[in-house]
Amino acid sequence: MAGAAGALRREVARLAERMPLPGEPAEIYVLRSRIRSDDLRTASVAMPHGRTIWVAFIDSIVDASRMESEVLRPLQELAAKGELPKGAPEHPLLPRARALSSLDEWATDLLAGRAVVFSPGVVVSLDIQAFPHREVGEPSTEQTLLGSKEAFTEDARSNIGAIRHRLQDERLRVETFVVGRRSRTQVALVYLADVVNPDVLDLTRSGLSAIDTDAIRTANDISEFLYNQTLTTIPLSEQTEKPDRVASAIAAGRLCLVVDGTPFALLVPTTFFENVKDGEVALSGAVSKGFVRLLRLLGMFTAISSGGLYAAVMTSDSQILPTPLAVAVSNSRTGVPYPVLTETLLMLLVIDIFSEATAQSPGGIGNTLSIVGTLIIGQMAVQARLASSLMLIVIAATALGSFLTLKYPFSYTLRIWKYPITILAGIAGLFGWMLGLLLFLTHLASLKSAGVPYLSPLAPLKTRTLLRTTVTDVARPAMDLRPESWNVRDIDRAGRWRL
Amino acid sequence: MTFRISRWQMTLLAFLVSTCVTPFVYDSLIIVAMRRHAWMALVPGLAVGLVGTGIALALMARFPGASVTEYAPRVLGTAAGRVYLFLFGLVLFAGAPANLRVLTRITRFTELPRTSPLFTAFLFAAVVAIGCHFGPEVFSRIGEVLALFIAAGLLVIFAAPLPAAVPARLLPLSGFDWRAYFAPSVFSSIGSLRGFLCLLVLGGTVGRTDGLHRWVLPAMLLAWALLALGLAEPVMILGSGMAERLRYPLFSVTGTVSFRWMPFQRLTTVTVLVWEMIMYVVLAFYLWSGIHVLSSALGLRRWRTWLIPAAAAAAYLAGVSIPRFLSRAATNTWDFAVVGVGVLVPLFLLLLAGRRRAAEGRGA
Repeated sequence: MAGAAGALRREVARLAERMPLPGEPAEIYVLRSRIRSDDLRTASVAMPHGRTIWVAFIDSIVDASRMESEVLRPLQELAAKGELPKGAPEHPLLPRARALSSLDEWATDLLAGRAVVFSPGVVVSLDIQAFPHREVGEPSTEQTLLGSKEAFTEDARSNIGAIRHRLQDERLRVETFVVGRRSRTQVALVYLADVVNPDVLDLTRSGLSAIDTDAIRTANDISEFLYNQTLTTIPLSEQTEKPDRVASAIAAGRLCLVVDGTPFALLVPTTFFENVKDGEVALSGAVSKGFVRLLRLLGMFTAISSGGLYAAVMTSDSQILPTPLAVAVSNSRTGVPYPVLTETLLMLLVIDIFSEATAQSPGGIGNTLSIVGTLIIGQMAVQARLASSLMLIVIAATALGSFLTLKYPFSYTLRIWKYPITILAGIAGLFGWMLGLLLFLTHLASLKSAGVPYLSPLAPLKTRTLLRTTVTDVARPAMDLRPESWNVRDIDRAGRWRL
Repeated sequence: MTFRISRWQMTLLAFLVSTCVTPFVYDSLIIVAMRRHAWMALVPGLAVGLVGTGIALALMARFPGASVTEYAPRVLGTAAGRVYLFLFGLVLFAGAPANLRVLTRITRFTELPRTSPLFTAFLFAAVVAIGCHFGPEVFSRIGEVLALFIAAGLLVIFAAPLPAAVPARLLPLSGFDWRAYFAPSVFSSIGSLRGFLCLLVLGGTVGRTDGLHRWVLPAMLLAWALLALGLAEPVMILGSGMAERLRYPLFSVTGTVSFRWMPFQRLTTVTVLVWEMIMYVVLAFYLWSGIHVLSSALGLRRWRTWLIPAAAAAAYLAGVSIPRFLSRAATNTWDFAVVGVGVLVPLFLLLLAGRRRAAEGRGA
């Protein structure tokens, strides 16, 4: 430590010799030469015998009132007594002061929203951080009728607080990592120490330590680094903006990553069936919960398969339909000038363009786009013989189905995969349609999220978990046992089971 | 092998590999030979299947955590072991084109009459190759997901035509000519219950083997019951006289069933889709195990390198047009070969291993 301090003094002296200082001490000059930013401000507190305490801070990320009450006023009191600030816990007036010993630490703390205090012979930093963040609001991508209405914000500290509010357990651990050489994004690992699967924890810890990039923008960046999901459309970690869901997942033995600057937390491991689970837990009885989940699964199946089914039946397998339906379907295509496959792909593309435009537009414009899409384009397409009326029903079912998944990123999977399935169906009828579905199934079966097969607990089969917490939630047993899929350290929630 | 599959997955694979032929492969030749006693053609097959399963389970118990690729060279010696594995690998690989061939023919018969079988064979083989690429863990999982749909489909396929069945058409049970068992098409059915192949090739990958027989043997019996029903049902519905005139009697029977209250009115559609699901898992098994066993025999480390050429070869062999008698002869030969390399040689391995252990015991 003494060696490092000596080196720092020599570095400051060397720079001070080279450049004249405009009133500020050499330390501040060194900081300014490193962080060339106009919002780097300084303040000074005069001490007896002509000495001065200097404070450096970045104006845009500190709390001005705390600057006054927690930094300047205590320093003035110290100066009046002729004392020098020291690192905590030695000084009662500066209880959270941290002693710094290197130039890197000055810069890091300054950029983290701390005030760096230079007094003769000692440098400390004080936390007065006030990164701008919005107030807690309602979830925007995971709206459920019956679930909690609270959503995460971009502030990691308040997000962790929201989790702690729901899990007041002494074994709840929060480990913080700093990721991104430039962004220095704080990523917090949150888990229950006596429950979480140690393999997943180690994998995530080592993965976080190994991330070498300049900046992290979203929680999904972390997921892609950790779980190497660049080649799949399927998210291998679950992004959620709901603290209640995170708390429930942590209690079930999963691991949460809270990424500062993003309102989404990551949950790992995840499985396919997590895409249909949320909100319905507030329904009463296992049957209602199971019914809702079944509806969502059916919706997802409709989204991915109905375009292909239409193409298959209209291309080569119309004889499978009951005769009156076959005639009606055939009539609806009268006058459509191009092949079924072209018609289907074209309309699927149109609806995807509308979906994307609606999703990316502000509320009012989004609603207008929906009306334009459904009423005007749809009706006109039929009238202009660009598509059959049955095609419009198929497209509507496809679009609605893709939004029945509760996880917005997974809806993109459904939207993307329907194209190869439709093309195969257009080429080889129902035979090709089934091949397309098998291809999708193969992809799902080949994936693992943090070592857990993505189709678990269906494949590999974990009957107890499948029946009690996947097909539905049977309240008592579901609350007694954690899902086996997560391979948790302690499967028994209530301490009743002898396993 | 680094793969791990569960007892349930192994059971499903054994069941699917045994039942893959159910709806179609047994063409009318068996009914021609045995008339109303056609289902009895499978009785020797049941015995052979159960014996083969017993032998495979005994080998698994004798060599825990090992598959045939590991214990065969140990018991037979490296050279003889490799020769055996080479033959075994060829037989397994041949299962892919043999089954794919029937699938493409049926598809042409029903769904895609104007499409070349070569095209459908290549399309199917390409998708199967993707499943194979990830190994048995993944295609076993696919089997698990499909199990429910397959079970429901098989139930509908077999149950829907039953109201029209007249069980008396199978009677009397006595009075059949036992020499009919030696007709080539009937005799070859001794290799119809082939689930033991999965136990031989994947035995070492099963995580827990305790009580595996309690899972696999009922599955094999159920598979046999379905196979037998596949032969008995057309006779019960159409009578043996009419059934023997149809090329694929069971398939024709399902073609007569119509669900007017459903969007899909023809049962043949369900039949083809269910069969496609079964064949996906079965072909993945034959293709993967063929390449894997052949790679072991030839000392090749990277089996995945051979996946695409092998899938292309299987698709070509399945899709290319050859005379029916030749295709029939190839299928019969393959059935015998399955019994040879899957039952007889493993029996020899088991005896030899037992004898060695006894000799080692005396020596100690």
